[in-house]
Amino acid sequence: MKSIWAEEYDIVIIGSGFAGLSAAIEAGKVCPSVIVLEKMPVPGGNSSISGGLFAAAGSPLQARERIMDSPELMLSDMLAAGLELNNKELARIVAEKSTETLLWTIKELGVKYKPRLSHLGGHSVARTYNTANTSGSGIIKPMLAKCRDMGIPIRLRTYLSQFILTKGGEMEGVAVRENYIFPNRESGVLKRIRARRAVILATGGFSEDKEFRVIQDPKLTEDIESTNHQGATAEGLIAALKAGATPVQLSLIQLGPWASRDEEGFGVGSMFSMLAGFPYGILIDVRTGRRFINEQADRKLLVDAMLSSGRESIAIVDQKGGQHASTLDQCLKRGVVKKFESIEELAAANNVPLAPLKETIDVYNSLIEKGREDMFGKPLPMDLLPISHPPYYSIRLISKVHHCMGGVQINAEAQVVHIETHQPISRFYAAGEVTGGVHGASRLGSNAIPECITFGRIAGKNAAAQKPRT
Amino acid sequence: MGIHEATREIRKSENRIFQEWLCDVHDSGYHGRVSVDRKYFSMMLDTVAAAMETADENLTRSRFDSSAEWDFPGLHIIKESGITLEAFLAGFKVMIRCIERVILHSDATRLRMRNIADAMELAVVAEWENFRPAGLSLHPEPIQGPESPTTPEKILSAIFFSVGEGILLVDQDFEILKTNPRACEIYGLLEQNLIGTDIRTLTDESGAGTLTLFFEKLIEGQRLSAEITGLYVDGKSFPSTVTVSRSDLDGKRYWPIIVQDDTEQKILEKQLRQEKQQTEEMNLTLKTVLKSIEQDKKDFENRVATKIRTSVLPGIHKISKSSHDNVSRSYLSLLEQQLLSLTKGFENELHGGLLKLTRTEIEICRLIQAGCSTKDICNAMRISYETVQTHRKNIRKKLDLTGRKLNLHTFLMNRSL
Repeated sequence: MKSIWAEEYDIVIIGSGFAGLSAAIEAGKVCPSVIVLEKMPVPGGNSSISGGLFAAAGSPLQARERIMDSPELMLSDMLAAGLELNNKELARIVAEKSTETLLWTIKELGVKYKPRLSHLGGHSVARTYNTANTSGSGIIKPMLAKCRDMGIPIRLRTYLSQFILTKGGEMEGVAVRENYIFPNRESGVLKRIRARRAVILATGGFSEDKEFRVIQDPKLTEDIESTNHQGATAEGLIAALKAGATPVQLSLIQLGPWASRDEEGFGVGSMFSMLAGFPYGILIDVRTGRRFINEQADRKLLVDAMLSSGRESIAIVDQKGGQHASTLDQCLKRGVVKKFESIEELAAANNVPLAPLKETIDVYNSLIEKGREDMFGKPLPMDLLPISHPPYYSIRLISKVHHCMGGVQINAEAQVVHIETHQPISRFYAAGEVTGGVHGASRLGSNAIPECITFGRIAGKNAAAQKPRT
Repeated sequence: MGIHEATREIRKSENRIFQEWLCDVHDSGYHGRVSVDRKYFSMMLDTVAAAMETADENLTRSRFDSSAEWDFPGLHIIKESGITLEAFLAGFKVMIRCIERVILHSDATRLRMRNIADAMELAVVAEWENFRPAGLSLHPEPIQGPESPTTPEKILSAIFFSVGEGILLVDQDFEILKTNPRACEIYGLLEQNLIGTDIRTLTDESGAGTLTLFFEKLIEGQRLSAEITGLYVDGKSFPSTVTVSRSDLDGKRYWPIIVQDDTEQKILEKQLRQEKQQTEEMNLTLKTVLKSIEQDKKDFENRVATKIRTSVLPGIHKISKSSHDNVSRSYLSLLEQQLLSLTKGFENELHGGLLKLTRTEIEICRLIQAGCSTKDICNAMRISYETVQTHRKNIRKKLDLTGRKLNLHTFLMNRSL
């Protein structure tokens, strides 16, 4: 009888972002034949356009700067932001392995990070590394180079159309469309690829899948932009659900409060707000000229406050604060961030009532100078400076869909759990944004990369440890 | 406070009133529909102040009931900005409230201004549809992000996106401003990553040098091409051809760059080169072979010529001179041997015996050579079977094949008759 399988590999990985490539690298150390399938014509997906922020508890930079931190503290931050909807077991793994994973990217991949930590909203302490080029491509590129060295092929334009299970319910392989042209689901040629050891699902989130996300969260209508690349759609997740995976918290979809109104997608403005605008500046309501929230709150709280009663928000920072954002020049060049010599000019250009704005800045500055507590609860570290050094910068903000906390359920071994039996589906693993539960109601900024790489590696190692079927 | 005093006060406090107005407009929920432009605000305030200045101290509402006397400079400009009547009235009413809040404390003046404002409002409502837009317009700042593109822009970007070669638009800082999907594929980077990237990071040092040189010396409208090394996202290098041109827009320089991935072309070129080399080698070999054949031919000709000169010609000479049959015969047989020996080494070596065959026998030999059986030969030559057999026997004898296990057909195969 002629085989239905056109090709056979030890391990078949779907998706070429952080999770997929980490899994490929770990699996490739053990198995001679690993293949990564990617539906887009370019590898790296959303990971390559992310901000390259990596949270690690107990890292070398924290030791150098004498910042007290621990996986326990990181976990409690995750649970607080996640409103305890997190899968604690999985969240703990991310926190505990965060530093080990960070060091792996440095030692094994040669990733370059900036020599300074950032303190992101919702984190108790500064624990965020940032890649030297302020982009996830700073990690994706070394990962792709490693795969090339190891001879692991990344097959582009190859779209997962369905999973194929054995009669006994084991994952056996995938049906794909080769030479697929995104987003035409009828394009390409059908082909079946068998996995001798296992299949790993690493297809990311669905923030750009407007049809699917509005089903999960009706508030996220079509006119709401996302920070994701256009390939961040739900087909991988849906294929897994059809194969018996358990959906978890699919309606928990995060918006990013820091995105710019004056550019598409994630752009360059998001990192300006995250690295300068929020920690070193203030967030005000254009209508009133006043602050309304702790700028360093977690994303969900910020977005909820920004969207309530039709607020229109801008972030303001001065020269001292602005220099913390390495993307400042690009922001100015693209008109995403505007520069003003005085607060008066800034107010006029943004149509902000001047008097209350000035008062707001004065009050904020005096809090810093006198070391008082902020009424919104913003942490005011010792090195924070008052907003008083021209030029002043402003960025117009709008919330954009950013991350899907929900996805398929996995266990601590990154095995996909079956919806009926609650047992792992044999030879089927998943990692990264396509999985659900790690972050609960809200993912803290810079926690996605440690999650993707940690579980990607776990999935890769465990998949490779499977005995090959005959 | 008299009405004229109040009017002066209004003009003096314009800034404060504007700030109040701005807050109230936001709060009213009209934000986004009412233009919050300062020019627009000043125009409205000015109109109200002007109306108050010229108003009779005993002004009553009725005077303004007639729209014919109405004058609202700049209303057509406001209307042309695309604002709705409802939104205009909202902004206007909010302004009146703000004026009241900021400066008017006496009930009398307040009432007076209200009367004027009400009259103005009524008149605007009555006249709204009659105001014809003039050339001027206010441009309220769009509240939503970038404006949606026009059709020509859409067509342009559709072309840009469908071009089969990679396109990168680069600015003075070597930064990529615009790109198309093909360029993304060539470098393995998403558009979001490619935009803002320094073009020099997509090639090696010498490629960067070439591009820098091009940027320096290109004049507008000129186009230059070069083969440079490209770098894929995973660090793999590939051959590429870049065609750089320059276009100056709004006093700034831009360099549109067309990129071709030459990997496949280079492979084909290499194959072609290899094939060419092989052909050349073959050519050389053939030439050598030809030369040696030529040499062989010459040698052979020399040999034949020498033999004829030294052996055959003297033999013929001797025969022509001799009168004795015996001597002639022995010379003839000698000559025969000499001639036969000349064909030695030929593919169809002459056989001495063949010369002895009679005409009939030669004809039979030809038929045998052609693959005819004895029966065929009988039919063809109209002779009896026995006769053919006799002939065959004689032929074998003459060819010295008697008693040898050699088929006549096989023997004749390589001989010319």
